[in-house]
Parts: sequence; C-alpha cells; structure tokens
Amino acid sequence: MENEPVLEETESHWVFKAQLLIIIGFTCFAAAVILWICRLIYVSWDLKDTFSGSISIAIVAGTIFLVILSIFHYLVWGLIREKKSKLD
Amino acid sequence: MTHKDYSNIDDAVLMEPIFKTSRKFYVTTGILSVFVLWGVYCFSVQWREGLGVTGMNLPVSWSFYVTNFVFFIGISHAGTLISAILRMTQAEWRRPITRVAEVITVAVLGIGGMNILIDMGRLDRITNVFMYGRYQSPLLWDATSITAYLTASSIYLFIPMIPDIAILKEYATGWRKFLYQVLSFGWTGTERQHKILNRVIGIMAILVIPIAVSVHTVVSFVFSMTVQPMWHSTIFGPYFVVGAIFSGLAALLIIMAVVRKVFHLEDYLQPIHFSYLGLLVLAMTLLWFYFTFAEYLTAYFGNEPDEMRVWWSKISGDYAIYFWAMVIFNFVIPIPILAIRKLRTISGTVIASFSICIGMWLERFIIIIPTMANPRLHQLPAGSYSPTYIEWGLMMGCFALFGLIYVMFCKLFPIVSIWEVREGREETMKIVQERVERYTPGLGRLNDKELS
Repeated sequence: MENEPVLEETESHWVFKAQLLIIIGFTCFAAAVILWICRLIYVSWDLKDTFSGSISIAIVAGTIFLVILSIFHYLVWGLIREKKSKLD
Repeated sequence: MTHKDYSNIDDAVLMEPIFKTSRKFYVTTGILSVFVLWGVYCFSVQWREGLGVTGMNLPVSWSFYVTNFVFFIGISHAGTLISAILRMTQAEWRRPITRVAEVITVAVLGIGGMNILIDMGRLDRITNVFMYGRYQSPLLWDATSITAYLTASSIYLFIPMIPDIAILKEYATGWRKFLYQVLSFGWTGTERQHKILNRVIGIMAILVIPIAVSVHTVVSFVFSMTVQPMWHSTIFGPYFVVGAIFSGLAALLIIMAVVRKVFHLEDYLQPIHFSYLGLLVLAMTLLWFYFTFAEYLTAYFGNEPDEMRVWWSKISGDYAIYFWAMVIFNFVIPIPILAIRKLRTISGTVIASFSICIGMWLERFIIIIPTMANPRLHQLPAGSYSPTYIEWGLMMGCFALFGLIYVMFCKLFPIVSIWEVREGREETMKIVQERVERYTPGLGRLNDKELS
C-alpha cells in the first residue's frame, strides 16, 4: 500500500507524456496542412497559375486551421493547468 | 473484471455497451469485418489490374465511386452541422442526439474522401497532389475543405466527450483506464474547466457551420464549374447543401433507431426526438423537391440541345427508371409518412429515412452518370455504364467500414453524452423558464436598461 502514491505518480507521468504526444501530433498535423497550403501558393506563383486565387483560398483555409489549432491548445492547456493548480 | 462496479450510478445504461461485451458485439463486428475485407480484396484486384476491372469507360469516367463520394459527404452533414445548429439555438431536446450525430460525420467524411482515392486509379501518384496540386482545380478546393471539415468535426466531437471520458476513467481498469486518463486531459469538473469547455464548444459550433456549408458547396463546384450539360448550374451549391442535410438527417434517424434498440436507450431517445427530426426532414423534403423542380424546369425551358439529351435520358430514356425511383423514394414515400402526425412514429420516420437514403443515393447517381454518358463533346460517342462486382464490393465495403467504425466508437465511448444529459436533467427547466420569461410579453423580468 505504501507504494501506491509512487505508482500513481509514475502513472501520471506517463499520462502527461501521452497527452503531450497528442498535442504535438495535432500541432504537427495542422502545421503540415498549413505548410502544404503555402507550398501550393509557391507552385501557383512559380507557374504563374492563378496566384491571386490561390492566395485567397489559402488565406481562408490557413486561418481555419490556425483557429482550430489555437482552440485546441487553449482547451487542453487550460484543463491541464487547472488540474495542476488544484493539485498544488 | 475489467471495470469497477458502476451499476449504482445514474445513467449506468450508457456505460453498459462499454464495459459489457456481448456475443452480439462479436457477431456484428465479425460480419462487418467480412464485408470490409471483401472491399479490400476488390480494391487489391483494382490496384493490380487497373480501372479496367470497373464498369467505367469512355466517356463515363466518373461513376460509382464519385456517386459514393458525394453521398457520403452528404451524409456527413447530419452530424456536426445539425449538432452545431441545435446547440446554437439552445434546443434542449438536442442533448441525447448530438453525439450520435457527430460520430456519423467523422466516420463518413473519411470514407467519402477514401472513395476519391479509390477512383484515382494510380494511387501511387498521390504525392503529386501534395507536391504539384493547383488551386485552379475545384478538386483541390474539395481536398482542402474536406480536410478542414474533418479536422473541425473531430475536435468538435472530442471536446464535449472530455467530461464523459473523465467519468469512464473512474470505472475502467487496465489499458482502458490509461486511455481515459490521457484523453480526459485532467478534467476534474471545476467551474473554470466548465467555463473553458463551454466557451470552446460555443466557438467550435460557430466555426463548424460555415465550414460544413462550404464543404458541400465545394463538392457541387466539382460539377458546376465544368460546362457539362445539366451540371453547369448556379443553384448547384445550395441544391447540394439541401440534399446533404436532407440525406444526413435521414441517416441520423436510422442510426438513432438502431442505437436505441441495440443499447436499450428508450429513455434517452424518445418518440418526441424522432418526431421533431421527422418534421425537419419533412421541411427538407419539400426544399429538395423545390430545388429539383427549379433545376429541371430551367434546363427544359432553355431547350439547349446538349442539355436536352441529358434531360430526356433522365425523364424517359435509359436512366428514367432511376430518375422516377428517386422521385418516389425522396418525395412520394416520405411526404405522407412525415406529414401525417399518426404516421410520424419511430417506425414511420425510420421507413421514410430508409426511403430517403436510397433516393438520395439515386439522386447522386442520376446527376453524375447521364451527364457523363452524354457529354458536350460531340466527338465522343454516347456512353453507357453498368457497375462490376468490384464496384459493388467496394461500395459494400465502405458501408461496412462505416458500421465498424461506429460499433468500435460505441465500444469505447458513450454514444449519448452523459454529462449533458445530467446537466439537462438538473438545469433544463430553469433555463427554459428563464428563456420564456425573457420573450413572453408580461412575463419579462428584464427591463429595457438590462436588455440594452
């Protein structure tokens, strides 16, 4: 029974690591999509192929992914920080 | 024992499918897996032999796969969009429905997108889309908007699940406990956490509505941005959005009935929910008919020769049987069932919904194939199309995959939001009373100063 707090601490350590992995994974995904959109803008500029149209679409799409990413970070860090402050 | 005893808590019935595994679960997943594997086999044949094993030919180069793509993307509108609208309008009856709906979106969006990959033929060249895609093509608009919708819908599904995952964490053991601990992101149910959660749900609900509308508008652009007969139409955007919500609601009603029966959720998904959604479907049936009538009348009145070839092939030619079946399934059958109160029961709405799902699949088919078979380029001969077993197999595989994803979700998470139902039980009466008092003349508690 004496080992239980140690065990819980180790468990919560792994839980936090897994949560961090999800956060990093989602951030990388959103960043990859935004980079892909930027790449398409570059291709359209390079080929002189509807550059203005690409910019317009990219601004909308890129903003959506940035907003989703910000919302996700606001939520998960908000929840994690609240739990930590409660524990402290 | 893989879980702690939860039978004494409220809403224990919602946790039963997660912690108890019956033989029915194995049978269902087994049958669905067989169909999925059959689909995988069909795809492997197509991968090996090329698109020649399908019924596609010149000029019919878009067929079953594109039909399924449009159909599945349409079904996806059932979930996130409907859920977001119900949340925004604070419809209190939404509480047991929202998650049932949101899961549909996430599952079918992936399957819809997958159909495009199946249709590509040379899937090994997929990286070219990422490297050299051109925003001049509406196909790439599609790829972008569907990715955005899938991402937003997944987040929108996940966020309201957090408090429920925290509840599950208390009763699970082993790997499940670890999974729920990770996914609950430290949820303890404090006031501040509730504030953050509700704020984020509110923002996502606002964000998701325009994304959802844009997705099916962009899907319609794939057709309407061409000058093909009966595709080059300005109302295709709203016509597709209406059709998507129409078929999506029908799919939602079917799945609600299945979930209610299988998981014994009679207390949660009540006849009134089916009746309310049935009325929404009735409104969408009329809207769909209005758009279809406007679309066909405009084409007929224009009397443009290329358009008329397609028009007549639908009305009385090779595709007449599909066209009139579509009208019967989408309009003639659902209207009386949904309009007559006595018929608008759970069974009635489910029959109407089945009819609509078949009708809407036929609608997608009837939009794509006759135009492909009668192209504007006169150098091309008029074509015909009949699907092969490969296409049927892949279609069955897609439907089975959807079922499998849904079953797996129900095995891991509650299909009805526990915390929202509890919140509703505790606060609905108060919330509704306050709302009614706000707008009912004579009952208003807020004076002009407070309102301003």
